[in-house]
Amino acid sequence: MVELVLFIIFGLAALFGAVTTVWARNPVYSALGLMLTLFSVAVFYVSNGAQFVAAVQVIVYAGAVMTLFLFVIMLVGVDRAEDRRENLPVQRPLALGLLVLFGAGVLVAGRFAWVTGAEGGRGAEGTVEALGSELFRRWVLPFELTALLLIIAAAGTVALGLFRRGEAEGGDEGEAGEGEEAP
Amino acid sequence: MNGSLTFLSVAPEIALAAAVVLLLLVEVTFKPRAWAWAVVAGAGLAAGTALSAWQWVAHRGADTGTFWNGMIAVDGFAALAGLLVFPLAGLGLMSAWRLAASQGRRGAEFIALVLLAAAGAHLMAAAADFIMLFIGLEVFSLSLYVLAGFTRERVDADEASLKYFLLGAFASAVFLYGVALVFAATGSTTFYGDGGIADYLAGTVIFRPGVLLAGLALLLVGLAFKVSAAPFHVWAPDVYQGAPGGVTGFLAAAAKVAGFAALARVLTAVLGARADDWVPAVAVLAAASVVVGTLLAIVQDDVKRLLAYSSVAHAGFILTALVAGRGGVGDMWFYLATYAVQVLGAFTVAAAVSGDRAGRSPLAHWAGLGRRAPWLAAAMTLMLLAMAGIPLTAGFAGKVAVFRAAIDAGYLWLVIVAVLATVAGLFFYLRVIVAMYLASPEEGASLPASPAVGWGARFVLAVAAAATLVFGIAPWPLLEVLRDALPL
Amino acid sequence: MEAGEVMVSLLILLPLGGSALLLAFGRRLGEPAAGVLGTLTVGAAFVLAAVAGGDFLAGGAHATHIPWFDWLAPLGVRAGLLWDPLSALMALVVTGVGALIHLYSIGYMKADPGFGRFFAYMNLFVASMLILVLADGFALLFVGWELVGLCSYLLISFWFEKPVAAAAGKKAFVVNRVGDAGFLVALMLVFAAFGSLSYEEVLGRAAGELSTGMATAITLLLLMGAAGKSAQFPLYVWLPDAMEGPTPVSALIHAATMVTAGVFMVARTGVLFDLAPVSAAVVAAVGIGTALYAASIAVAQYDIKRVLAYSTISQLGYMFAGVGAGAYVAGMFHLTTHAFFKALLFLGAGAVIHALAGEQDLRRMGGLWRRLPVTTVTMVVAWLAISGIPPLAGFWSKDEILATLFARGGAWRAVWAVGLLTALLTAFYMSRLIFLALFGERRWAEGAHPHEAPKVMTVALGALAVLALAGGVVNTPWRPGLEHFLEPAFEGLDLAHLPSGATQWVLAALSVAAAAAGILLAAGAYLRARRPAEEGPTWELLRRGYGVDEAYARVFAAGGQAVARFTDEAVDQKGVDGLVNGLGVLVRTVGERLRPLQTGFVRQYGLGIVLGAVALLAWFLSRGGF
Repeated sequence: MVELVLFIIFGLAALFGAVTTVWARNPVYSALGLMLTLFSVAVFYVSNGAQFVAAVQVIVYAGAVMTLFLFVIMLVGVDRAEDRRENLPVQRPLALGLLVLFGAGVLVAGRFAWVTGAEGGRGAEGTVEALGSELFRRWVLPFELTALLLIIAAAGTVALGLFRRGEAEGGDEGEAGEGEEAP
Repeated sequence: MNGSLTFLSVAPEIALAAAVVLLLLVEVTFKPRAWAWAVVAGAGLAAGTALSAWQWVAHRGADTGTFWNGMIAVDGFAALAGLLVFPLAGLGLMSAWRLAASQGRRGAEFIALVLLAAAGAHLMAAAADFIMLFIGLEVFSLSLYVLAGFTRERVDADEASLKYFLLGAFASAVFLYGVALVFAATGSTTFYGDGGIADYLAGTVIFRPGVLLAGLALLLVGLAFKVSAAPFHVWAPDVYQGAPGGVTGFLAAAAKVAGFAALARVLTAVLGARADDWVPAVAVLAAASVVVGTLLAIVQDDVKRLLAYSSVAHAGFILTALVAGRGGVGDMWFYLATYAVQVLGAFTVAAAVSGDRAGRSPLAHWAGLGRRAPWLAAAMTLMLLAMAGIPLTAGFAGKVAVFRAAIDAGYLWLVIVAVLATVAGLFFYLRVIVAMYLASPEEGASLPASPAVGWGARFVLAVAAAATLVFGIAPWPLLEVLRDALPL
Repeated sequence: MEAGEVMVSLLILLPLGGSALLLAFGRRLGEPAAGVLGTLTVGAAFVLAAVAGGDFLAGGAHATHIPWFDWLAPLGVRAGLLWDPLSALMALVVTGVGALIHLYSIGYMKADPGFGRFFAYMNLFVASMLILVLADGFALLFVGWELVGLCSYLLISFWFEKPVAAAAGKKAFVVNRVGDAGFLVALMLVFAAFGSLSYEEVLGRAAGELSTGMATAITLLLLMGAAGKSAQFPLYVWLPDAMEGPTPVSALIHAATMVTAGVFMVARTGVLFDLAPVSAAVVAAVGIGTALYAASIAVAQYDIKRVLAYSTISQLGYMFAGVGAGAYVAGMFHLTTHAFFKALLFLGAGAVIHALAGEQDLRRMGGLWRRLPVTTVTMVVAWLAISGIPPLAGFWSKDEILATLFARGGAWRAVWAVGLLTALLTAFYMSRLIFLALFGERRWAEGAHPHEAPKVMTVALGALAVLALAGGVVNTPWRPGLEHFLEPAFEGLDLAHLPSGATQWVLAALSVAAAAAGILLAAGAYLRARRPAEEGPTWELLRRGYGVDEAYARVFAAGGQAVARFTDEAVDQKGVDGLVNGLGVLVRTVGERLRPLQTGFVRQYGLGIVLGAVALLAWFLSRGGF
């Protein structure tokens, strides 16, 4: 019973947040709406027993990522009027039509018995301990190998970022080196 | 499982990762000359090759199995992938050496990224779990995204990199969705062993396989993107044309090898039980790639773009082998190995003709190359003839092998389409050859300065030419050996 | 490996090695050493072929297989040679005529800057042709087939500085590729049906295992390849243009040897054509149609080499008609005699052109017989041979084909009638050529000093003239030597036979009458003081070869380009190229507009991927249901 009430309350909140994100004219409101949605989803995670994911959701997304978003918005300037001109006039009706189609698809698909095969759920407990032991026992190799991704990220950033400084003779002037590529 | 093998199973990756870390640390600490990079990178790649060779000798065919809780496989397939990818990365580095050396201190990162891409490619081939496969895919792809935009003085290199990244991320997402659906249908992401996907599919009759098949379709899309099979090829021409000349060869060769390795393992070993479902789809993809690649290559006026479309057609030829399922894997390797060398050689010549950093390579640059640089022109001619499938080159033997595999599998129509495309393909390969030998440079055309070829590129071309001829004249020993390069 | 096998292997290796040597050192060897080397290798090959083939004459020898090496052995692809009477005959013709043409070329190509290169290519060509005829399976046959095509490309555009020559080479290559496409698909079908490409397997098992439908499909596709290589309708257009090459090339490739590859292939795979009567009939119909068609065009040409080119096409048509009717021996016989007299005609024409410093137009020749006695005598021999005047070589072979066609009765009689008409036309246009070029008044330019060709050239002419004169004796109705010789190669085939008794005499008389009528008509028109006007719409139509070339250019070249352009514009330019071209401009217009447009393009790509994914999904879900 408590679960149902929680679901209704936070479900509505999540929807409200999502609509606000898209609808609001002021980008700060959009960001706050997104934050509300992220919080509400975190609540769902808790009610499904996935405490760790919920915590990650709040700390990483609602915390770090959203703060970053807000920084960017502040830097760009809140007062900048948003340009709402449509480049593709058919886009809105098309989107609406596709939405209806998608809804119909979901409803139709829901009527079929989707056989989803064997029991999958390992680590039913979403606690930090359960996740940690999964991650460092069974999945330790993939976990460690993500280190390679971090190296790529670091090396790639350095390489691409260093370019302008390294090529002082004209990199900053824009497209100095592309004279012959002109169409 | 055999404990001593646990670390040896990922030893090539460890060797490469160590080389990468060493390279970056040495670079930061000592700021050495370029030859030091070459030593470290060469040592890493040599170690990776040696370890793959050891895996091949010790564990090919033998039912060695998987390690790290079913994450990684040690088998002839993975070992051969290592034996192919690591030397290929070495050749790619030699071909790109002038480019790397011209980039100042950024050269170290360039080399590190090539090594990481090689590690990722090998991981893709050796992965025995979808999660592993995905990580390998990302390691590989992310390295290539950066490499494609490495020389940022040209805006289209940036563009190539960004577009490759966006579309690649999109394809990765589709792939991941496929993994999720397959997981939903089979309850596992692991390929082998008790409760693995292959085991589950072999032992279970699924009455409503909708979820599984939807997953299969999305997996196919994700991997077809990587190997640039039509209609998922749209990125290839732009990226090949935009990327700096020196690196395009490695980009093209490695992407094919890694993508097809993953595709072959997933389709034949993991989803082999559902072959009736995916074989027709793969056949259609193959036919579409062959036709689209050939038709569009005919109308190109830029050699790099032409080679890009030809690589789409070649993706189709290689897919033709997979139509035969497990029986076609050896033929696929043969085609893949010889084609990878050819395409690397061809782009190496293109880089020499139009410049290491240049993106485009219009046909006008090639006019009269036969007189200006006879050896370069001869090497290019050999590569093109091999790609066209002229007898006594490896390209012909490869085509015979994959066609034979497809005929055995009962896909005569596909072979007929492919043969017709081969014939039509000769036109555009010949166009380049004609331009090199029969055309003279236009008056006043601004040709790039006389082609300068580094020692690395010369070595690459010599190896490519030798391999193309040797395996063209006597393909059978290699084909025989590759019969052992099967996934578990 | 025993002696015979070594000899046959050397047969190919000698010219091949010569070619490699000449390619490497041709320039250093210089004149005439390079030519001598080239001639010697081919001549030695001829001697070997004669010695190795001698066993068959005795009648005791069997066909031998000479395995070279296993090339993709488990795929049934082996490289090996087959030495039987049929390949022996072809090898003798190729090396014999080839050696004489090499000899002639030493004189003809004198002082050409590409002297060494020329002989390297010529040697390579002979080697390729030998690979083609000696192959013991379709795989090696195809290797030779492609090499021959490549060599013809190299040799036609030998003077590639001339744009016409380069274009002609390309045309030959492209048209041949069209035929090759059919040939390749035929090989695929053969492989699908038998799992092997060796003649032994395929031809041995065909009778028992091949359905008529499959046999028809395979043979029709083979015919497509043969028509490309042997310049039959509708793929003949490359041959007249191929005359842009040096004249010895025309003699070697486009008269005596390369074009016979198609006829040889049909004869070699006769077992398959036997199983598919429809295809055999199509072969004969294409052949006789081409014969008449090309002969009619030859009547109206002014370029001496083009007359001969169309004449070659027409004569090849005879051979096709012969093998299509099951008269394999007659077809091969005509192939042999034709090689003699057509090579002679080309070399004679070369001598005339040589004498007039490059003039090829018949209207600017005439009265040359006084200045070129040797050439004239040999040309006259060739002319009478091709016209079918007994007892020269051409009479026996042509008459044998015609008689066999008549003997088969039924609709074949119509084929025979067309053949007879063609014989008349042949005699007419050949006489026109001879009368215009060698006799009548002199019309060549003032200041030209026609002179007889050097010794090396006239020796070759003389040798060929002897062959054209007496070559017919190998297979006369009284002593059918060639038939006995070739019999083992066509064992088990339903061979067509000559009519007997009086019919034979009547038929022979008829064909001689046709030839004589043709010659007399031409004499009436061209030996008079005033040349006929040769104008009017019919003449114009014939002169332009019925406009087929122009039509091809319009339909195929333009059509093919249109397809490619369409894909280019609809798919590539708007989607892909548009992006790249537009990008340079776009990126510079930094501003608000940049981003939405750019993502628009990537979105387009994304849309492509999504559509592909949807198609795949639809396929899989339709397989599995929900």
